[in-house]
Amino acid sequence: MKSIESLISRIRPDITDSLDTTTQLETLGYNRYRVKRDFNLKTTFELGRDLFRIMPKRSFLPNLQPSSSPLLRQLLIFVGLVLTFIASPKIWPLMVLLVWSLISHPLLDQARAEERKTFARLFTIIFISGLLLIILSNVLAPIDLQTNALLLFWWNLGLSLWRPPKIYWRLLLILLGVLSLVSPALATIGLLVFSLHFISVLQLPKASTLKYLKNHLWMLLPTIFYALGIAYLLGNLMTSSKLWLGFLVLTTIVFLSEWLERSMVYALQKFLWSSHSREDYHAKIFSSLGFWGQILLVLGFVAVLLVLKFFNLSLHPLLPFALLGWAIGLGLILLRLEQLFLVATGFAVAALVVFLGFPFWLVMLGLVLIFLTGMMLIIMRVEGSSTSIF
Amino acid sequence: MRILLTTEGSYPNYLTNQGTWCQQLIRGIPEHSFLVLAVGNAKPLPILYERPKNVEKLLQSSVSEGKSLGKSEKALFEQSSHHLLGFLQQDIASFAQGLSQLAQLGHRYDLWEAFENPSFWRRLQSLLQPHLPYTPSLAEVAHCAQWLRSSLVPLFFIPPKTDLVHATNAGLAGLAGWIASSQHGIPLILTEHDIYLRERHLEQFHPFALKTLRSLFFQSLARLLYLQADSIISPCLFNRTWQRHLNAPPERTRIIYNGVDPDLYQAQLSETPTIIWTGDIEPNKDLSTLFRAFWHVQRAIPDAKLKLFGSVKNKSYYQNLLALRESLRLERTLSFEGVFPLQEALAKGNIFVLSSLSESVPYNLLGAMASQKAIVATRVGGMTETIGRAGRLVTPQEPASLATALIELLSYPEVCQRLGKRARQRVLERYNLETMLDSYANVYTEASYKVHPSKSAIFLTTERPSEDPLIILKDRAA
Repeated sequence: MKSIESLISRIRPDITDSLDTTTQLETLGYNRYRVKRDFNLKTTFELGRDLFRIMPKRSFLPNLQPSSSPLLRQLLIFVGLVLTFIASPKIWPLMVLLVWSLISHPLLDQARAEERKTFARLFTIIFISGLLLIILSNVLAPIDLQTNALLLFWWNLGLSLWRPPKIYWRLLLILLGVLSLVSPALATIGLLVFSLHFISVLQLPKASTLKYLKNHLWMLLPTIFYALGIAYLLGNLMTSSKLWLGFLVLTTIVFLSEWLERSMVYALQKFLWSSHSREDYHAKIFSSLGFWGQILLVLGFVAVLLVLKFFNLSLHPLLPFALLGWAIGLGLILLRLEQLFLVATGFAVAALVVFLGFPFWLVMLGLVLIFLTGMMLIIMRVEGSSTSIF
Repeated sequence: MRILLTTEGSYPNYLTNQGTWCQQLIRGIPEHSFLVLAVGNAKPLPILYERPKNVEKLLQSSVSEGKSLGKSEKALFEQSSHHLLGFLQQDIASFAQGLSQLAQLGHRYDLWEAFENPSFWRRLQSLLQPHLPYTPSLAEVAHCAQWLRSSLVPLFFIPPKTDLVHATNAGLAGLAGWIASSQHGIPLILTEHDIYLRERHLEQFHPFALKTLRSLFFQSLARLLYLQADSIISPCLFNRTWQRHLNAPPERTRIIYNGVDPDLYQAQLSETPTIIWTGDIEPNKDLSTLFRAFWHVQRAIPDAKLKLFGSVKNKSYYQNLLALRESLRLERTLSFEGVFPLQEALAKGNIFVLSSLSESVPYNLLGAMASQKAIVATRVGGMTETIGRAGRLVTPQEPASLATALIELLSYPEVCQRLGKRARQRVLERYNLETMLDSYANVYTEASYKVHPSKSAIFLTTERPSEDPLIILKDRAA
């Protein structure tokens, strides 16, 4: 009896069946001779079968953790935004660089998950294309030195987000950004020198890298629409209103949405692990404060807007910023739920409608409501959403 | 003869034992041409072997963009997936029918979203529950559904018609082979270097419900392949015991030993008492037991050295080994040498050691035997019968007994010499490449004479399966 107990203690606890038990016994050196000698059984399979019957069985739940904190990245972007608003540069070259950043992000993300070499070669293409865009912007129309320094700053910042977070590099980048306000010429030289530290990561692209890009065109196409849509809407808002507080509100809402997405995914994972039926899962979502908080917050905004409109009062100038922030924030949550097509279509159509002359705030309101409804429907459909949640 | 060779995680994209065997087989039987179908790769991978002239094509199973399912196809998916889940009730006939129907659907339609069908999830959950000590959560069902749809990818790729198909495992390569055999009505040969199901049990896998599902899936797949294959080949008795336990018909099982070319290996001895180990650095090799054993060896024979040759397959395991080496203070005598050609690595030591938890008939062991090395190995899998009396066999996971054997051999060079000669003789008699190639050539010839009325194309020729796989299975079983 004692020998059986000690044997059980040496077998892994997550045994699934008698054949699994047999396999584990074999790794301990049990064969038919030893089984005959020690237990008077004919084969290891018999011992595996008997042991599996008496072994304790239990469930094994994973140790869930929320994804890594976006705080450092957000701080860096926030500093960049503050510098940009102080410098008040030309808007359109910045929007071109924003499009570059939004397109390169999912591409690099995908490549990093697949292969290290592909990532390094693709990174080279992204590196060169960003620089070429800055040069091209200068060729198409003369750009002042300060805007150029800021473009180089954002180009470096976009690339830095893909490097392991080394705090001194990031601090140096911020200092160079601040320098662009004081001495744009010096900052330009500094930022070009700074970009040399990426050379260690770069690898000469091969024909296979271009083939990789070609194969991922399907993924790139909606991303291009998404990036162009956001850039147009943001550019439109920035040229029509240079409200400092508005940008602060927009940025805060986008950043908050990132945190919300992080906690929402974590909560959904927990719900999925603890629910045994769709009904159970839905009940957990409905009883979640975060879920209702998000909905009430957005609906609250909508209600305020409608009330203002109903009494024919003028809209608060901050509202378009807040609504665009919500749209971008909800878009980020939907992207996490792998709804690129919905997000891309939403932003592209919204940009087109604004371009045609429809009121900005109304279009944004529609977009927020569509994204919110989409998000709720996707979360509730457990069979579809679980793929992106894990 | 044109032969379709189906592989998984080996030839031609990974340097493995099985890959070596594939290369030997293709090169050694130049009168036949081969189409190689590698399954299980998420993306095209580089070819790591020199391509023999008789390789007609290298294929990789992939899913092309199919049409979306219409209403009638959705109903057919529901029915097919219902049958597929028969594996959870160990109903092989239903499982086979499900696989056939899904293959028919999957090579024309995109089934990705169909696996998110709520009724499929409900059935999956209810059939899985009796195998678990608890009700599986939605997260576990989600993992299982996702795993099933990824694993069935080889099913949706219909390879070109050949004269016979040779599958190199009873897992996904076997699944691809089975579908080719069923579709084209050609003989199916199955060689199992390792028992696929056993190998899955040895992997750390989460969550528990998915581990259970995988075990049941591969158990049913193995049973189905054993029932359908014309010839079931193992490189050792140990594997055949497992196959027979899983109902492989004894008259169709046979052993063909793996072989090496003895002329490629020469007896070379190192002057210092050096122990060598070769292989992939991963947990199943149980190097921590070897390190602990070597600590005892070091205390008895201070100038003894242990050299490890191989690539790191598991980084965290490697880091743990480095820490263990440091804590045992073995940095000066125990070294990781990196990747070397086997012959060169073998020339650097006198004693060859394997401390694995599981092995079949590894090529590095055969190479060491051909090089007249004294062998110390764990008594697992096919190693006992391969080594026989030409080496020392010890209980796995027991550093003290491994150390005793190593100290004995290091202390008595004449014993080493005697065992080394015996080992080479064993290779010459049993593990000869020529014998292996002749045996496989015979298997191909025998298979080509067989008539396969029951394997006439099950599907593709008509909208629905022309013959019920259930009847085919019952016929074959009879």
